[in-house]
Amino acid sequence: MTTIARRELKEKRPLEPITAKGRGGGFNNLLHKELSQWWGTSMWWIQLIIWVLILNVVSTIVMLTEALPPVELLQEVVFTFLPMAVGAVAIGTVITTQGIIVGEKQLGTAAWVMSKPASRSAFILAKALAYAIGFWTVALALPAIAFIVITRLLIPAPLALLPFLAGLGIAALSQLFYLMLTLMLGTLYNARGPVVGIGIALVMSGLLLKSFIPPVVAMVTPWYLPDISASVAVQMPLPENWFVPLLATGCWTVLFTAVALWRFSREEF
Amino acid sequence: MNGEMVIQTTGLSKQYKDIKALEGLNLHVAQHSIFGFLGPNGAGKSTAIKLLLGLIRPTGGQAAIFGLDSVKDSIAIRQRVGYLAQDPRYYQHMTARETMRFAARFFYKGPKEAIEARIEETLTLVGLENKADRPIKGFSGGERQRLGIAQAQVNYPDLLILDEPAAALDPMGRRDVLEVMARLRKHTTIFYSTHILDDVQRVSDNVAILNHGQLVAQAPIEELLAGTTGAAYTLTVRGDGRAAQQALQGQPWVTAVSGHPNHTPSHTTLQINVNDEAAAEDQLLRLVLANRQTAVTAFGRKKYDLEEVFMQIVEGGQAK
Repeated sequence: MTTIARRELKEKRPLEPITAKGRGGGFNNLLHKELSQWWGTSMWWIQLIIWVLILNVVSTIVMLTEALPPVELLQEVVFTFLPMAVGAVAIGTVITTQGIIVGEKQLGTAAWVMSKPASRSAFILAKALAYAIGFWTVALALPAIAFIVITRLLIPAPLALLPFLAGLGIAALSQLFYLMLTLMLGTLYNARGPVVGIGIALVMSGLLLKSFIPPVVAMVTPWYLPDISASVAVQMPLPENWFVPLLATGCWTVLFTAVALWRFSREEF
Repeated sequence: MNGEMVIQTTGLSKQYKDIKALEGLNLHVAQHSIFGFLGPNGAGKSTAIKLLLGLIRPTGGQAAIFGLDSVKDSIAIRQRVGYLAQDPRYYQHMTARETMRFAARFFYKGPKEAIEARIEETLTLVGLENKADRPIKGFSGGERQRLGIAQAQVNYPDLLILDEPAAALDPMGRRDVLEVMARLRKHTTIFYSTHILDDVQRVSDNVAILNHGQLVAQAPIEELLAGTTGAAYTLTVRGDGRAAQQALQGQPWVTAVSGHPNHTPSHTTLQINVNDEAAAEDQLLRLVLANRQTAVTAFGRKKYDLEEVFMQIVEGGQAK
């Protein structure tokens, strides 16, 4: 069969209707649209520049200025890079995603999408997945690759890759926590103020108030994750019950997702 | 399938705290009709439409579209419906073609060439083919409205719901939209809300009137235009018309006679409401002309326009 004949045959194929419905209806289309917004616009490289500047430039300055033995210097820069990746990316996540639900509710685009055969769960989950992939790639994975390359070039001590990746995974969990928190707040409020305010307040409380709060309370927040991620990455001894903040953060993330889905399912447009 | 009901609501209601936005709506929309949903601003038209689409939940009653429940089967309903919102909003960074592509992918998974052909065809239908690749950000109100009709039509819906489709348009834009609606009639059922009564009279075959959240009339448009207060005749006579008025008053088949001075000097037009059309057609003109000094310059059956009917119903609170 010639190329032209094949093309003609292809062009004459009738439209294939989508029949899969229910809670996942429209998910693929919505995810495609959200990913296009990340990767088909200037958003991804602007975010990449920001995160490379924040994470890699600061950790490289530490590498170049601290006069420490190689192993200690390596620990020092990991303790700079990963806690910053957890804290700064949390703030970045809240600021970037504050309007992705509220904005669509205010502009009326959410109502338009919901007039199509799309489920409300798909609307929320497509955003969550696209923004998780986006942040994990440009704010964590790519700066982490750059960090590994720079440490290999500047520090004559080996960085154990698997523990470092485990530490990075903890940073990804923290990012997911703040992403789902912001999405949930977006479903609960109709203005950006409370969404960004509560999110940033939670991050800042972790940075400023952690030592003043009873450990039993702080343990069930993501506030210990910066230290745990760095300790895991350089294989330092971990505090007792180190897994509690991880488990709690995971549970909170699931809860936020459930609340966001429940609240958005009751939204009236 | 002609004659089947596409929309059927039973006691459909929506209440926001103390405000009753919609009360006990019983609506029947037959297949392939162009159904005009009328009412003053705030009457509850958009609320009813949003209830049909599952965008809001009813506080009472139920709605069936294609026989499916508007709450439980909302996604299956939306699969067969096209919707244009009163103030349509799309993603500003997208072009018209990208918007159409996004809308089409909720309904079709391929092949790409067929989807693109459908998009092109639908954009051509609304006259946007030359602006397809421009970002929506720069679109005028009329262009956005036309894109709205295109995206609502991309799945060849069995039911097209249009909320005030011509409200934001200039006369040319309104004419274009009405033409598109008339063209689509043979393929789909069109249910649209409006407060522009001229448009309804031009394209609709059935009408419902909503006022203060309540359905106050629902009928084929001819029936509605025939009048809601019985048959009436108009009679134009030379002079002040007092003699004619006296001749008619007191007749058992005459329910009311009212006179209006005409725009033409020295002429008066009388409106005669009757309860027996046969008697009126047999005797009315004879009675008036019995007075040799009366000169009749025009006589005919009173034709209401929709605005008169609408005002009578809405202002009079008259229920059908």
